[in-house]
Amino acid sequence: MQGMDHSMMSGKIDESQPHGHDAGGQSMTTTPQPMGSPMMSGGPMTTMMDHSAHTGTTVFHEEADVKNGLSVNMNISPVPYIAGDSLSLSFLVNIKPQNTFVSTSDLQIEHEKLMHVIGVRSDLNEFFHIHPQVAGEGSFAVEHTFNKPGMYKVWSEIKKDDVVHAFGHPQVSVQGTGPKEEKSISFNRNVYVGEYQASLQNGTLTASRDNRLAINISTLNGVGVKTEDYLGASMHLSIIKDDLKQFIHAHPEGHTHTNRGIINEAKADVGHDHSAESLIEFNINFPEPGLYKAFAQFRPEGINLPQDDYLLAEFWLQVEEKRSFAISSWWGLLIFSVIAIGLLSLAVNKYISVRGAE
Amino acid sequence: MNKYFLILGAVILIVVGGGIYRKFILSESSRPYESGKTVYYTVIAERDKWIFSPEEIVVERGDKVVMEVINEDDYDHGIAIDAFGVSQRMPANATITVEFIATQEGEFPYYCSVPCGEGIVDGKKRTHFDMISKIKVKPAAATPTLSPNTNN
Repeated sequence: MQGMDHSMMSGKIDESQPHGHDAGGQSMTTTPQPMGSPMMSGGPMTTMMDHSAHTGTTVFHEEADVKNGLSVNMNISPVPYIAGDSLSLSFLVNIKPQNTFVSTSDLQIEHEKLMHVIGVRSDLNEFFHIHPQVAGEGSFAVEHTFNKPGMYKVWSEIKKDDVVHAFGHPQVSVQGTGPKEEKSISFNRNVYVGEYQASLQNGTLTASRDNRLAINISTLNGVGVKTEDYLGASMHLSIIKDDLKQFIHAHPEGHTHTNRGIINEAKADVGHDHSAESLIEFNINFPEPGLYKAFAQFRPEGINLPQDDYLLAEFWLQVEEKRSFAISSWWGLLIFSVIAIGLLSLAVNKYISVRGAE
Repeated sequence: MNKYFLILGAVILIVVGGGIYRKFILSESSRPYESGKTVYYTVIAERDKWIFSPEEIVVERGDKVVMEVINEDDYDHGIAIDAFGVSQRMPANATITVEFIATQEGEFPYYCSVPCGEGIVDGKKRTHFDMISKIKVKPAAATPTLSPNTNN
């Protein structure tokens, strides 16, 4: 990789070589996955490298909205996009409006990769998290197979100047036989993932404030299991709103988070492995109320999986609207109006004298 | 009584100031303007060519532009004109209509906003990113435009 900081490379991994852990890859079955079923990747094995902890903020962009500054543009070929076919996803990192390429040496590795790509089908039944490789200056590419037809939303993440930038790309239509959407919502808090189970603990989830989510991994007999590092984190949690307009990407050990449309200040941060060490906690700040789905990627300690593979547990979340006051907004407006009138009256009395009264 | 005069004076100042700004300070090309004229164009996303045809359309400032956009491909495209707030998906083998008023003078790109692949066209590689054409907005003229399919 031209210009790459070799201290970061650790001599272990070459981003220019094919690698990946595609949850939606060819190794997956094409039958519907029950919630919480394991999704395992295909793709060659890679050697993990040391990673630096995530710091700084995350900024979200919709690709179509970026007219100035850093941008990532996605293209997919060959057309038409057919479910089951291997497709090439390419990403151009550039500066608008000149469209000048950004050197890959100017990008920073985040969770062991220069670029993360996460995608879902519109019904949130299909999920993948893959890692394009450097294909040229400012250019990344990765092979991916969409297993089922439908509309897919894809986000790419890069890190530059200590800021993680997430770009939402226009939805792509994948053709093929079979239903294109099969939304099935369940609020089951305990799901089976291969030989393990994952349970989610959460209270009432409320938008615009921190919410604690804790995920416990255990064997089928209920014995707590620690997770081993997978891409530099004990768990990767992607949370996506059902209208695909909100995207949160959190890692337990850092402050990684991505909320659509706003600049974040470490909102979805942090998990801390509990004393039990099988409980992984997150504080998530949902930007708006609604229905979300959480995708937890993890590797139980000692699991016999290829190094780039992971287990996936999925949970639907209902996020309620924040209620700042116990009183209704009508009463709030009334009180505000009375106060405003009072203040205005005081100001008039103080600064405007009526000649006839003097 | 004085306070009412003060309030009235402030209101008059704001209204008159706004009028003066719009009449004498705001440049002619920056003023919102609608000519009341409608021009019609047909734009084609040509089959497997990654091109919008025509590659340039010309309108006058203030024109209402009605574009019938035909997607000849078996896959989706999109059309976006940032300057006029247009962004619409074009499903495979479908025709859509977009409308906007060309309020600004200048040259503005319209481009494909949905990933649509790449291919070899006449021996040259063309991609989704090459699918850019241009709208040229000329100053408003008193005489009728020569653009095709003009409807007053």
